[in-house]
Amino acid sequence: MTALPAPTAVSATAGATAPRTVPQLVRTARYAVATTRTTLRNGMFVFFTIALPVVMFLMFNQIYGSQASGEAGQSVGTFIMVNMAAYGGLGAAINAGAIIQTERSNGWLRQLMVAGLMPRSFVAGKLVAAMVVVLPALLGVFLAGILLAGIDLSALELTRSLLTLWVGMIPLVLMGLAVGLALKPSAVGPVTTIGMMMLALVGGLWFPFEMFPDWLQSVSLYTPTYWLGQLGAWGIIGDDLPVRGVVTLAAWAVGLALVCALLLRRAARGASRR
Amino acid sequence: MNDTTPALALTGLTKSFGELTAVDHVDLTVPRGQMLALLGPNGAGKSTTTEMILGLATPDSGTVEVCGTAPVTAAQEGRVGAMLQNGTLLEDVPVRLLLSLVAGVCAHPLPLDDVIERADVSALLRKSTSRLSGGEAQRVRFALALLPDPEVILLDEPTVAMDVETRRRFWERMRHVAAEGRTVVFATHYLEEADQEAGRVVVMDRGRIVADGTGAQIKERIGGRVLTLALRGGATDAAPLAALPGVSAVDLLEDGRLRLATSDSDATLAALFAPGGLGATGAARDIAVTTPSLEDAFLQLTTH
Repeated sequence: MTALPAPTAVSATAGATAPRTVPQLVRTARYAVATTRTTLRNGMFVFFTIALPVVMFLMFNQIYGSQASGEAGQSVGTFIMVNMAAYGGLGAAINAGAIIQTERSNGWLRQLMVAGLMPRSFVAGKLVAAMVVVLPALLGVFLAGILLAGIDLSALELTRSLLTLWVGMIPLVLMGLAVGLALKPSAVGPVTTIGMMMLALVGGLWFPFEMFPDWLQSVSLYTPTYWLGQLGAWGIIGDDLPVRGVVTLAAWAVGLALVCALLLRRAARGASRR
Repeated sequence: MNDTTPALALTGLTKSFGELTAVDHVDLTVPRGQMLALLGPNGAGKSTTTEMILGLATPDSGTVEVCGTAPVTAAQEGRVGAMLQNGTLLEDVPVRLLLSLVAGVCAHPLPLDDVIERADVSALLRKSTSRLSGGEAQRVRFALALLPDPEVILLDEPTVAMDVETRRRFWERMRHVAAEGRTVVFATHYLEEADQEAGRVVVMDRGRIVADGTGAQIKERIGGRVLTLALRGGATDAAPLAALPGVSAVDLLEDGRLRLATSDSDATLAALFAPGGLGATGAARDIAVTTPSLEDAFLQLTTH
């Protein structure tokens, strides 16, 4: 048993003179890095966020992929790949954001707040972690497409599509965060699963938009998922940028950010045991 | 920072949950460097008061100031550390990673190695948080309480789940922490702990403070003495004992002895040893006279 160190003169003035304080921005950044590390440690989570969309892509591609489509003659497989990448990113984004609720409900957030973390820094850190976690899902599907399904993409097309999809994930991460902040722990799982499926379906990520009845098509045009698919495809084809898509996604992002801010104030105020 | 600003200043602090008034106009000033024990039965309002001090709950009326500032500001400035009761630790993460994560959010954390040594967690660094025993988890929580280099430390039932030896070592370390000038406020059910470790004891009951002083002062407040004795042949008949002058209560102890609470031990002893009295005839033997324990005082103050 080591002997206890005697209190030193320095610590005898605990806080008597104002010590150099780490700025909130730096603390937020440190927290973002640390929470990304702990999120990535969850091996099962990371594995399934990559594996599921990859498997679905390979499956759909096998069935429909070789049909020719698109103005420049891309195969349907290319669009399936983009849609599955969007779907994979969607899953990663929403689930990573929803993890926030376990840390809120089990009291870990309280511990962090007492240690000096501001609730908005907590959410910012989770946002960063979720965006990082989304990348492997996107990359995984694209790589499967290129290496396993023989889809032909230039470096420009790949980079542009990947980046567009990645940035487009922001509103979906915010959605996951909002769900995590708003709902009770038991409700989060079912809501995210069903929400994800509905968004993917109505957004035309699973069944082609062209097959929808008119009313469904009009609804689809308001979903973030439809425009994710469109922007991802644009990244590959490179024709006119679908401006309506950018606007829709930005509107979703701003709206959800406001919802998160409101929920956050509520969560911080009543972070009691009950 | 002014050294005369009290560590904690609670004024008219009140919080209710629907019909229940959990904290009822509590006034309490804690000077810097004090070691204070908060005692009270379940539902006395200790945990709610602690939450308001930490900025985790807002009072319905009244104010609470930590080192002269609002609780939330004080927490963000790194003035407070806390061991929360059943405080959950982030799951499935090595202890070292957990500590460095929390150190990263503190305004002016103590060096990590320092905290590891002081909280005695060097053997636990590689262990996953989900695999810690109750006592080990408490040591990690203690490390978390120290990390911000706080001026005020709040402990909510800190030695629950610790065995005797671990508890002894814990208080040894806490005394070092207090010797550095930090203010320590701990809520506990272990009355001997409060009595031995705290320079000041505050007893809460049903949301109010019912006693405030050193352990000795509080014991003195309820006054009187306690006589314990054995009756010959292992008899347990309380009636003749209850009739003795000054005696207010007679209890049977686990070891078979009888315990008399009396307001005047002299009168009771005189009656016992008067000619024909139980002590004179030898019917009552092995008589001990003690001052009431903190437990006696506590029970008297909080049972209704």
